Amino acid sequence: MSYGPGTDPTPYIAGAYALGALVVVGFFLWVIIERKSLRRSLAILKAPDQTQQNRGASK
Amino acid sequence: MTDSQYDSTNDPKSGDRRNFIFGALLLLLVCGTWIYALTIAPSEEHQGEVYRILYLHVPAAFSAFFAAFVMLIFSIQGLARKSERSLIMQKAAAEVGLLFTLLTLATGSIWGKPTWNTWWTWDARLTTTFILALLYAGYLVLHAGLSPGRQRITVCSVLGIIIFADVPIIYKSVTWWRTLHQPPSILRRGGSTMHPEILWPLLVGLFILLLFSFWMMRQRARNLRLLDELEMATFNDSGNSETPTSPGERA
Repeated sequence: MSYGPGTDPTPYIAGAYALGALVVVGFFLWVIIERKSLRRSLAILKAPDQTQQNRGASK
Repeated sequence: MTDSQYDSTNDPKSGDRRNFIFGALLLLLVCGTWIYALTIAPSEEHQGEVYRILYLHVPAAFSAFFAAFVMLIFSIQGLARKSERSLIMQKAAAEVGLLFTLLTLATGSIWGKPTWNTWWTWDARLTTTFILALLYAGYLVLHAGLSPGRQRITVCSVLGIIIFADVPIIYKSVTWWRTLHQPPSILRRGGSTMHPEILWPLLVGLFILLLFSFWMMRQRARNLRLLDELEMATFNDSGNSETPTSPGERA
């Protein structure tokens, strides 16, 4: 890899934007997955009886 | 409990869905500005094509600064009210701020190699930005290490204010010291030095990424509150007779 005029900028531009996409898309997906997991855990904890009934019904 | 049963019994989930749809729209807009930057934006006279990193690097830097501003607001609130709840938003802002500061450093480094022939140099702008990353990381370590209470609120809030104090130093570093980094070209006396064809898409992209970064902070703060709620519920479910810590203390 060289520098200055004549340098192929493609790998640099692609690398920078790939990193940017990884950060924003990664955070977006992580927040959604974490939220769903937290809501599910809270629902199970707040309604233990109903959960047990559902588990019994599914057997 | 199946997912469909869960859907029908929880109102907050519809609020979550609205938030995620809004976030997805913002994400699409962010990607739209990047596609514009990569395909439609004109070449730059001196740097040619590699300058296109600007459309990612500058908005990421401003998002890191914006996170510091959000920290400042909630640090002042924390000091004034001695409220643990302000720490939740402080922590969310520190996480997002650290992420964008690292992205700024990484994209700057990638841009530096073809233009300066170096990945890194201890230039004033780069060094002060690196210090911002260290401050954000230090805040998160301090927050995790201190016990909940007034001491943690005070120490974290003071550090939050110190973090914001680094932002004007970063911004002015290119005029206060001789640096390899170029001087300010957007916010400067006498107007921007950029061509309007480059400047306006950059400003639009910057505004959209700022909105998205605020969305990221709010959603992360909401998750931290839910985590608190879950810990409280687990505590009560286990039948512990000791007094539980208030919401926000384990943020």
